[in-house]
Amino acid sequence: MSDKRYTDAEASGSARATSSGNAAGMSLSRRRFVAAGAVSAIVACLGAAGVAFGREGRAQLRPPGGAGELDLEARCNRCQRCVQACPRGVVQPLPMTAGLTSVSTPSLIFRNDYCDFCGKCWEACPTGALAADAPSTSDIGVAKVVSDACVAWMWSGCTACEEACPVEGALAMDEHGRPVVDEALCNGCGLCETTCPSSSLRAYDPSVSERAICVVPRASQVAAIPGAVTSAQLTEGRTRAVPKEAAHE
Amino acid sequence: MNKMRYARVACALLVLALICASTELNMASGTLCVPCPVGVLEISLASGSVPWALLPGMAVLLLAVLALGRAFCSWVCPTSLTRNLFGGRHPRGLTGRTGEEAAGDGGAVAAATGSGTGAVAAADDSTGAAADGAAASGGADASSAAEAPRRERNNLATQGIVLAVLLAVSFAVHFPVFCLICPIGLAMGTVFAASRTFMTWQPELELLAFPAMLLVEALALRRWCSAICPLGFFFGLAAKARTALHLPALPRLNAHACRMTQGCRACEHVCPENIHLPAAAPADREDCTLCLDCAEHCPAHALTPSPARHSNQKDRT
Repeated sequence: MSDKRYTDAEASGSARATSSGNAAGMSLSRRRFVAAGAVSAIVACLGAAGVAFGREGRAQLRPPGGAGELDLEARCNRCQRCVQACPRGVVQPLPMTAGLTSVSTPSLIFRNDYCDFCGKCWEACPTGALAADAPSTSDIGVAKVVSDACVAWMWSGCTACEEACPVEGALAMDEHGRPVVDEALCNGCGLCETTCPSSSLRAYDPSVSERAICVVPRASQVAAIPGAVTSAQLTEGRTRAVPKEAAHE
Repeated sequence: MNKMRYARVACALLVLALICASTELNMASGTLCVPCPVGVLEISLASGSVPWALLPGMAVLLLAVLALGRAFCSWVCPTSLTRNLFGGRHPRGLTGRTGEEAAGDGGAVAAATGSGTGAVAAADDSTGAAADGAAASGGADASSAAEAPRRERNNLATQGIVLAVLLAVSFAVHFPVFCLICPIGLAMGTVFAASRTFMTWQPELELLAFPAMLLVEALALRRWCSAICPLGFFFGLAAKARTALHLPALPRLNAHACRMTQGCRACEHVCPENIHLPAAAPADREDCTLCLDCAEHCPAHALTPSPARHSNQKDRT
């Protein structure tokens, strides 16, 4: 008895649900198509904006295993596994200010620690954005001395970076006691940048780089300047790639 | 009162906490972006090579949807977390789909549950009286159903359009473009931007921008989940497969205990998807995200999250 009553009610209930579902029809689905269309348009605009705003001209300091800006941005799914894997915490996601297409992709910050090429980041990468067979697994970038921040350039006596450098011959002092980088030998491990005591030895000046020796990407404009650079040059060209025409000359 | 909501918030926060903890322990667990099928397709098209290492994780995620339904949406997704935390998750039975309150909405629920529980005692004693009561409440129910907000189904068509556009754009511009606005990616990005800030002590723009975008998507774009989310497209397909394979429906309904015949619509009123479980066709249940608000609010305790069978209960689903 009770079961029969239940079945009847169920039948009428589902019939009602179906009819109201059909009646919902047009206006609702139109609104959803508008919403989907709007988001699609936003996606298309973001894509266009990403390409339009100087994507070609950027050079970031990527973790070892990165095979080039465009390739890395295309392969990276922003899963942050490399960031988590790094035992020294130097792999960090890029901020929005670094460019729309590279948001949350990994870069290196040698503020607190350096890279010992342990390989955990490229082992953790599931997409091949960081690959074990890329040439950058043994060469991240190149260290540049910042002349207006360097204590050894202004006065003399500081040899902190030269003592710290783990690569024999990559960093030497010249006849004036100033650090000079052998750019062919330097692998960009960042130990010199981590060690540099410049900011603690100078009076604070926001226009001068905190560290007097900084690792920059080899493709960047700063890397193309021979010898030491100034803080202004470093800020200006650290993440900007050398234009293609200039590179061919 | 809001036990299930707190449980969902706790579950989603626990997932975020686990990701933070694995970062702290240098375990490369990855974010929720690792098993994302949309991400796999995006970077396959953007880079022209398939990331094979991501496929097992993706398969596990889709199999979990096949086994449990779209529980991810309620219990893990940061969009739901945001809605649960900031009140964007009003069941449509209570405050209409557009957000404005329907006339006497609270009263409707109270009346429905009240009449349901009130009629319970009568129903067990005399069937004749109960039949009359059921007919009367059924009539009242039909009129309230006419005023009730219409049911909005998960829309594979519009989600598919978004998916197709984002894949085409990713292919054209060679980077995974949807990752920039995906609520899951934004939540993960916020976590990692915060951790970078603690390291460099240089706060960046996205500490504000990411949460702001997430709030807009979760609270202002009410149709995000049902009409836009491209991940929902894959979950919708998995849910369809679930129906086709006749996998057990969740939550389970104890038909003997259910008071639908007495006019109780408590489960439908609290359901964010407006599913009337006792009368729902399997296709309607595909939209269920297993939030379990219905189980919490069922006055007869007729809904159980567990698929386990009890000897004294009849499985009507």
